[in-house]
Amino acid sequence: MKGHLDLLLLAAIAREPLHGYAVVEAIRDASDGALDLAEGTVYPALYRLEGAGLLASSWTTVRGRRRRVYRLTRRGRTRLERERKEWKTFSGAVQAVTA
Amino acid sequence: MIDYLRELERDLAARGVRGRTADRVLAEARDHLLELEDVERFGASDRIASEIAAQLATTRTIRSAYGAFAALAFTGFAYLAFLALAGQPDLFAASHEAVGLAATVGLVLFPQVAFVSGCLALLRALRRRGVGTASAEELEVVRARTTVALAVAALTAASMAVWTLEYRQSGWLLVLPALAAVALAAGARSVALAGQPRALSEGPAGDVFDDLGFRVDPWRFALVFAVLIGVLGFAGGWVAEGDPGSGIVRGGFETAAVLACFALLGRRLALRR
Repeated sequence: MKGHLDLLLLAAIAREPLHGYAVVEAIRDASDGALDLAEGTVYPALYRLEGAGLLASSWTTVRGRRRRVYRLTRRGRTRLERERKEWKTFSGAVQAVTA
Repeated sequence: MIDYLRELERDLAARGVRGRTADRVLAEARDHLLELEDVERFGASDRIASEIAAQLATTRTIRSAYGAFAALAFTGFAYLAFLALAGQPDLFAASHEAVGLAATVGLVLFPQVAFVSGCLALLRALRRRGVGTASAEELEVVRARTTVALAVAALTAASMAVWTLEYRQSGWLLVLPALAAVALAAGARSVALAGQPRALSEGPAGDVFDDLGFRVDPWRFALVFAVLIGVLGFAGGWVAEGDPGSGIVRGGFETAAVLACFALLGRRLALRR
C-alpha cells in the first residue's frame, strides 16, 4: 500500500479539507475498512506532500479543538489526476492478466 | 497518551527535530490520539520520528540548495558588477604585492569553484525533487556541495574586499562583497538548519555521473574537462591581452586549477567515489 499512499491521501483530501485523523477515517470508510492505515504513519506522508507543494495546511479551531487541516493545492490536483490515470492503467493491466 | 507523547518528543529530539516543527508534530499527534481508544494504533514513536526526520531533512536540504544557489547567483552579480566597476591597476603595484596577487588569483579561481559546486548541488537537488525521502548519504552530498559552494563564494567576496584595499580602489566597491556576504550568510544558515534533522535511511550517495546520466572514468572525465577549460582560458587570455603567451599562461593555470580542485574536492563533492 505504501507505493499508493500518496494517491490515497490526495484523493481523500480532494473531496474536502481534512485533519490527520479524518484522513485516516475517510480512507477507511471509503474502502469499507479494507484500507486501515497505521494511523501515525500518515503524518510523515502528509508533511512530504506539503513539502512538495501538493498540499497546504493551516490551524483551524473545530468545536474548541485546534486542528491542522490539509487541503489540496492546484499542483496537488494536477498530480492527483496524473496518479489516478496511472492507477487506472496499472489496475486495468493487472485485471487483464488475472481475469 | 501523555507517556506516548513524551516518548515521541524524546524520539523527535534524538533525531534533531526540535522547536516549532516538533511542537506542530506533537500537537497533531495529541489531537489524533484523543480520537483513539488504543494509543498503540498510532504506531511506534521511534518509527514515526525517524520518518518525519528523514522527510524534514530531505525537504530542508533541497530547499537549502535552492536558497544557496540564489545566494550564489546574487554573489555572481556582485562579482560581475565588481569586475565592471574596478579599475585595471598594475597587478604588481599592490600595497603588499603577495597579498594583492593572491587576491587576484582568488578573483579568478574561487568564482569558478563556487559556480561548479553550486551547479552540482542544484543538479542533485532538482533530481531529488518530489522523489520521496532521500538517503542520509545522498543528503550529505547535497549539503557538502552547497557548503563548499558557499564557503568558496565567501572566499570570492573576501578576495574582492582585499583586492579593493590592496589596489587602493574606491571604497564604494566594498559594498559589493559586503552585500554578497550577507546573502551567503543567509544561505549558510539554511544549510545549517537543513542538517539538524537526521535522516537515518540508508542508500547510495551516487556521484556526478548519476547526476549527468552517463558514466566514464572520473579522472579521464576530469582531464577532458580541464583541457576544455584550459582551451577556453587560452582563447580568453589571447583575446584579452592580444598575446598568445598570456593565453598559454591562463590556459595552463585553468587546466592545473581544475585538476587540483578535482583531486582536493573530488570525493567531498561526489565527483568520484
